[in-house]
Amino acid sequence: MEAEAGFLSLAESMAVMSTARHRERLNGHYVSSVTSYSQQFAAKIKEVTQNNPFWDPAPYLAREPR
Amino acid sequence: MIEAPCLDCGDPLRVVVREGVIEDQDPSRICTYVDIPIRDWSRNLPRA
Repeated sequence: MEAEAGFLSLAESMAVMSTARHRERLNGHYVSSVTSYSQQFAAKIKEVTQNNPFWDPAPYLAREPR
Repeated sequence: MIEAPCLDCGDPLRVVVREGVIEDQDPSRICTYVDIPIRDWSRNLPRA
């Protein structure tokens, strides 16, 4: 069931939320850097979730502001 | 140390983190849940 894929352990959540996409939110240059931050976030998501389709960020990245 | 209630059941949660490492957590199997697949986050970012 796809909904079950939405669960992440605390350690997995911490790994994902520790990327620059979250860590640098108060950085004055965040908006101009968000594309690279999102790429790091997507890579970490893929690693943590072992490429689970629920967590496939490809369509999400396609909509990131440039 | 972080103490907060579970947003699902209201039970107390406690997490001790030091230098990016989880030292202790109670209960032992704390988890997070996202019900929207990441591919749909951009459709409603405030709720993603």
